[in-house]
Amino acid sequence: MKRDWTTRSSIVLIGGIIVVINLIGLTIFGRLDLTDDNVYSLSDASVKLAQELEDPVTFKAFFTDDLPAPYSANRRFLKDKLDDYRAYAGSNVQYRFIDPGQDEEVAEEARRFRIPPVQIQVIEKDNVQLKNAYMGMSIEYGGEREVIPVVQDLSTLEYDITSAIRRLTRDELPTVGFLAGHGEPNVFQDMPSLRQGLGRNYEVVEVNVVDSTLDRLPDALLIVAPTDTIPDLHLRAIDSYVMDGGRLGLMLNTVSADLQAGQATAQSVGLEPVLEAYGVGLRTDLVTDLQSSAVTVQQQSGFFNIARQIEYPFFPIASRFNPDNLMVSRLREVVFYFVSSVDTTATLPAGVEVQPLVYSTARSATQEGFFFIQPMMEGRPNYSDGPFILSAAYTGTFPSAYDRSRESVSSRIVVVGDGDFINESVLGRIPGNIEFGLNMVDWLVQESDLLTIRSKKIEPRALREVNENLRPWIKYGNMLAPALLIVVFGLVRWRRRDARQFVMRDSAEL
Amino acid sequence: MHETWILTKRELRAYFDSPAAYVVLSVFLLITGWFFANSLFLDNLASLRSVFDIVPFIFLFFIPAITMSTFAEERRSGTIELLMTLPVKDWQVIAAKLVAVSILLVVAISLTLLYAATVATLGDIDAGAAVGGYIGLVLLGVACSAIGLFASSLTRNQIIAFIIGFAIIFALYLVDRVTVFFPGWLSGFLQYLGIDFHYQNLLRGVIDTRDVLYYVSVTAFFSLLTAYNLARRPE
Repeated sequence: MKRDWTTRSSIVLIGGIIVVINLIGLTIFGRLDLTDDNVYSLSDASVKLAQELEDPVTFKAFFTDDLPAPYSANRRFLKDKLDDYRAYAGSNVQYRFIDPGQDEEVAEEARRFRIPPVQIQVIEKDNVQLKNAYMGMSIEYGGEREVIPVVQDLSTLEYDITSAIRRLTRDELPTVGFLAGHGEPNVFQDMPSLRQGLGRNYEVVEVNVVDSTLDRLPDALLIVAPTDTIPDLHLRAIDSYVMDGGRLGLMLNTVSADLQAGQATAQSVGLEPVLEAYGVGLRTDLVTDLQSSAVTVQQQSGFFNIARQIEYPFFPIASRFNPDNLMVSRLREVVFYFVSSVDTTATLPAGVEVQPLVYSTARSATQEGFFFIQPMMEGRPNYSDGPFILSAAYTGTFPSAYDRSRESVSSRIVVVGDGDFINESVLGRIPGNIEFGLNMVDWLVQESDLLTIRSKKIEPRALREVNENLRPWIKYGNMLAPALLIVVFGLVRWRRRDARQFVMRDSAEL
Repeated sequence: MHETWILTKRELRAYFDSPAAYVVLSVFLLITGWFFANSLFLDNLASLRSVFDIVPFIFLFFIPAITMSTFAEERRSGTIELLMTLPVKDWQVIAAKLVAVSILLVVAISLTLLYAATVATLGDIDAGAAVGGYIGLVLLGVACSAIGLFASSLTRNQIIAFIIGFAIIFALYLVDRVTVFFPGWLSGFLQYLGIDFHYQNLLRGVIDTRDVLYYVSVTAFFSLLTAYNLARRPE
């Protein structure tokens, strides 16, 4: 062999070149997304948004430097995503990573933006230690700011970023209306937390019916616990709102329950025919669940009155949510206050689809017709009938309740069998409930292209049903065939070689 | 180029004339087949994940096993003298041996395409992720082979070559999993060094130039070290 360039200095030189190329490659790189849904590329909605930016959007990622392994992937993923946005927006997307741990001023800024430090596990000096780390981001546009406190769920990162930019770049906020005039609770007095949360992204208004039309046409109309009968004219106004593509959030009490009096009676506000036309079924029952909140009851014990906390099955705590609907998939608990079940078994009008959202536990039951709601009641029902659906989402083109020939443009309706769960005057401030309310409005108002980002995820794909008899053949065929193929190839080759040698020997003898 | 190809053919013939290649190949295919087939109906998923997860582990043993003899055996039997007298350059020898090992690997990997065909018939496979996985396997295999060749060039004892090759690949395998034990400023660097880290990225179905560049660099770097070794200790 000729020795040519393998001197020590040339090795060092070429090694150095390899390192430099890798360093350059870290900054200049390209990616080819081969997955079917282009899961790892920006979706069209994000690309369009990035291209249409008129002023620069500034991302400030508050990230602790040198995060250990599982978290460092978040940083790379975020950086890749931001690079993707920048690829389409050019100089209108600027980002930088800063470390609040290094600079007190930056830490102060993070605090001001409400980006909390999160605790992560690191190993230092042979000890597992908890360390504070920052993994948040602020997004600024034209003097306004949106914050993603913790970049953790990589599957929703693009959605979070894109919706934040949309909120920032929108000239006009979408409106959320609360129907008023039929004994509904007041959104400004009874739902301060929900109103505050909504206020960040929406204009919150009260909607009244004036001269048989809604006085405002909000992007989403919420009907929360009306107690008075809604006049026919008003129902027609709501129906015509839906026909024009209006979105409805219905939080209704079909049973009026009075805990003090220990009484409950069925209650109708006249919405039934409209709901029936849309395919929305809400039963006149109460769901009782063994997983429930407690109430305080006064008990007579001898001369004393004793206050006692007891579980009250009429206040179910729902912890099972539809994982496929982003409105609820990230919720953990929603507490209800006398909730009725949603009937999703009814035949739906053509073009309407239903998706259950919230379930009671398996250990739940329903009461109908005759209600015993005393906390201390004897003889509990058999809690094994559940789960029941407590909320459902309907999408599609709804037929009008008044004009059978009319059909709505594509719209959305959410129904919850409880009108009090977001009412803070009744239940107090329960974070999970408010989140559900906020998500509901987000989902109702959302334009469909944004939802494609949300629905984008790496779903496991199941195999088709395979005949039991065929399975062992497929299984062992795959297990053994490749190895057999190699062995057969080897044998054939060996035989041919052997034959050739034989011939050669033969000819040598001749 | 022509010389390299002649040498490659010589290497390949040597592989397929000895029973060793068949034993190693069938063991490889039996193990992957066992892991794939056993989990196929259990997981009931149209995915090759079980294959892509196990193959790097098998490579850990498989590649040092097929590369351990490349230079060590030539040294032991003295045929390296013969190579040296041939009018070829040392990079041509290394390239030929690397190409031959790579072809053997590709044969092994391509026989697992039967699994892909099975999954594609039984369900809706994410073709992109599968293609990414196969590209990842080939890149990973070639890089590991370059390491194996390097190990073999260090010694005339095949067993020692195997152990050294295994140790280097194993170290690169582990390096991104142990980043928590190192100070923070090193973790990014160590992660980049990790041979499995880049493979996991490719597995998702995203071909990132950074990952490809890493494998090409590892292959080039260890081939360079091999060349250096041969030049230093010609024997």
